[in-house]
Amino acid sequence: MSPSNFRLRPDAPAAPAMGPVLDVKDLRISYSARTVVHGVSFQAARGETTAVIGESGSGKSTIARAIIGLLPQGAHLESGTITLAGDTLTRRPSHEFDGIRGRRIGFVPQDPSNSLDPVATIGAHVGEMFRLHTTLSRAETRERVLALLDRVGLSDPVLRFSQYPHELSGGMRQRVLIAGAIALNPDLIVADEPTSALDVTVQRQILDLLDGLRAEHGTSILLITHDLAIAKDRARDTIVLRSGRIEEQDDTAKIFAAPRADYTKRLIADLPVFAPRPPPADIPAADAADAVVVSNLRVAYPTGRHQTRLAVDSVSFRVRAGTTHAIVGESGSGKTTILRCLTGLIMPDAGTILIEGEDIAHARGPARRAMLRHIQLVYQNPWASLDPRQSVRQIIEEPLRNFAIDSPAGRRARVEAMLDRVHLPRTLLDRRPAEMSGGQCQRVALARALVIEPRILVLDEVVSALDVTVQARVLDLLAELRRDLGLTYIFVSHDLAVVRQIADTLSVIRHGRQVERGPADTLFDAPAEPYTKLLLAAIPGQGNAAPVQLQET
Amino acid sequence: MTRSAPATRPPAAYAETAARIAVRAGHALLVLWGAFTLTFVLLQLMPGDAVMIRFMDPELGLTPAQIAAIRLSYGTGASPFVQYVHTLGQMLHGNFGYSVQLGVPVSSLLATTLPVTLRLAVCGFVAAMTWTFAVAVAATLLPWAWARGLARALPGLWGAVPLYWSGILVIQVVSFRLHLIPVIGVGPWEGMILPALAVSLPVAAPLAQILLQHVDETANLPFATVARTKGASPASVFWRHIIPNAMLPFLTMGGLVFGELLAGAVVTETVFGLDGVGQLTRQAVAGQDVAVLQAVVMISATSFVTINFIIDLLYPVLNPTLRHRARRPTRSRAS
Repeated sequence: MSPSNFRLRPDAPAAPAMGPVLDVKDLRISYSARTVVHGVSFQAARGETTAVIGESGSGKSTIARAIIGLLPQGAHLESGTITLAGDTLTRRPSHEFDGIRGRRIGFVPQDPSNSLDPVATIGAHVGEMFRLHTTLSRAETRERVLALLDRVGLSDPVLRFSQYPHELSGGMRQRVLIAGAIALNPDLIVADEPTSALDVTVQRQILDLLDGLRAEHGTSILLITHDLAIAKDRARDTIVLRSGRIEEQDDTAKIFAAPRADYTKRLIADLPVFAPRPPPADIPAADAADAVVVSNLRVAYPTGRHQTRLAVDSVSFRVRAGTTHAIVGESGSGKTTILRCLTGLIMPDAGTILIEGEDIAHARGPARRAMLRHIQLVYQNPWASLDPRQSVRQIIEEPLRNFAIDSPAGRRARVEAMLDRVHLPRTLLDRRPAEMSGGQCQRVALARALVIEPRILVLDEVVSALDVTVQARVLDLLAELRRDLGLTYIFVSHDLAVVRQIADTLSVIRHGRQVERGPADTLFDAPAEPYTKLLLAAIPGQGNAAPVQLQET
Repeated sequence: MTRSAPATRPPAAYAETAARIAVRAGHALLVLWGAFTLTFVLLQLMPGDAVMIRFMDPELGLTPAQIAAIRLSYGTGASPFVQYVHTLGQMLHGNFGYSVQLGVPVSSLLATTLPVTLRLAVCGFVAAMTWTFAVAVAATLLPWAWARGLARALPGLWGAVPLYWSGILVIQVVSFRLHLIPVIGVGPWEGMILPALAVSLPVAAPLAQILLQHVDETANLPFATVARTKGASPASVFWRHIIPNAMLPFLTMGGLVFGELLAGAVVTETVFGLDGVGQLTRQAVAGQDVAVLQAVVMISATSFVTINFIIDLLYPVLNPTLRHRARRPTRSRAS
């Protein structure tokens, strides 16, 4: 029996073939007194992908929620109409909308890890569509669900049917969610940042899948994303949003070839994949001392009484003082474990780490403390790594207090000088993290790390949570600080486009093993290993969106 | 494509489950032994004893020699260690000793009081669960915001009402004003209606607040929204997705509350004149009736341990992430 032979769309509604599938007119949405969407009008063409791009706070998700009729609590539709294939959706009673959601509009959410009910099986998730909208028997539903699971590229659908979400990887869960969204062959699929929580190679596969479904079934896709590169690769039309207003809407190709709005121009200029790699400012002398030398690092975590899992296995690299070494890998590759070893938080099972020539494992007591002072860590999520109850002044001063550096007046001066260094106005000194933007918080986190004058900074995905324009400014700042303070960076990232901007040397890590290492130029221009090639090809925005390799993730 | 058989679990999985249950049961026995020892030591440390309280009364006119003989007959004269071993051994055989105050075997006292308390606990718990779910449903699904707000405020209100007051109020209204249920001369189950009602309200208050909190948390998770985007109605999302997830943390609290109902219904039993374990405990404390107290502590410890044991076994049933992971496949797709 082969489920792929079943028709996927036997109950397709006879929609009129003409006109746009989605027509949004003068949409205006507010949260109490604050208007977040200011009279937005656009159309989505039938059978095409239309991208809505914008940074955080642009109102793109609010528009997506308005289209599926599930505005968040407190949001109010002030005016405007939304029409789906000729039928007006706005101002419908809730119970009427229940018959439209799922059946005529499919939704693919942002974060697959939390978007599946942890106590329901995969079969129940996809089957819910048929239970809610059709009168199919259990056996018929099962056949249809198996066919769908097969269609979205999941291996062994029968096994998947009875599995629970925690038994599947992020990419597989997103495939399950897509299977649910396409189950009843809707007119439109609204995909709200469908890949922003996924690794770059998985992102590519999921976007390929959506593209394939669109080509096969003529489903229209509204792709909500912050990533211009994805829009460039995948959408025929693009709408650029900023602060609830449309800056520009046109053919994607036209927008990228000749952007008209200044905002669009800046967005495109700031995208790392399009930016030229800056020439290394001043290359440290080839005989410069080694800041960090890692040899044959090995870390195993216990997983059972007599079992261990190798998180990191024989990883070696050498970072010369004043250069940036990038560690690149997807989730679960062991990047974070390497970081934790470097900063002395965990002890490796084998291998050595030399920080400025001294073995981190042998240092004890005050010597170890002094050594670790010179290697500081900056985290990915600036809001989570700053104490929400502390002011900026307290946050930056804390390391000085911990190491008992300087008098109170001297500390105050150092904090203010450091704030200037990271280009933050002193008026922020009394703010708390919640009162600042992501970029400002990340600058504060950098200031906190730098205030005790370390020589090495370990940067863990420090720009991944930031909008593209903010990301570009923080990368500029990092380059400036490295030049002025003679810092050495260890830059951990999953984003090769960003790495290309900043790294001198890099290590590619997969499943805890070092796949490839070497000078950045060599690895980017002539990668030797297939995995490195795959990673490079998966960077969106390069205009080569053809499927590379179908592999379940 | 071939049909694999994922539904059957490998024998190793059963062996592992059995081993897990055995370890849990071992822990439970250890806790019971600890409870026994602790109570024994504490009761030994109390100044005075039951023999003194009952027989030292000058009106009885007993000589010190006679009192010493009585002490010997109750086994309270021996060294503490000998008493400990003796009592523990007897208890393992189901013999709880004699009540000094009442002069009857403790087991016969329990035989009459335990069913009353058990009935009260079960009825009270069922009633409490009913209120809890009614509040959760009302606070989540009622179409009017003011009604949802009211339902949300209810548990805090009734949780603040002391039991002796709400109990008397219930009797006043139901029995004396409305003449619905007589206060005396009722059957064993009919007579439980009022006490169960009274005991369930303060218990349901924290239960409802905790369930509501978890319902709110779950409702804000993306999968609840995703279920709505599939076209499920709010009620369908509530029953099929929110409640099964909110039940997981709620279960622990439910077990504790049931244990408390079994262990201490003193006030309810006093107000409604029920001769349950609560009454027995009150009398035993007043008379320092060591054997009875020891037995009561063991009964409540046993019920707590049993309830927790059952809940531990229920967790993997309700939460698939806690189940055995032997079924996790590591196959990759070859295409």
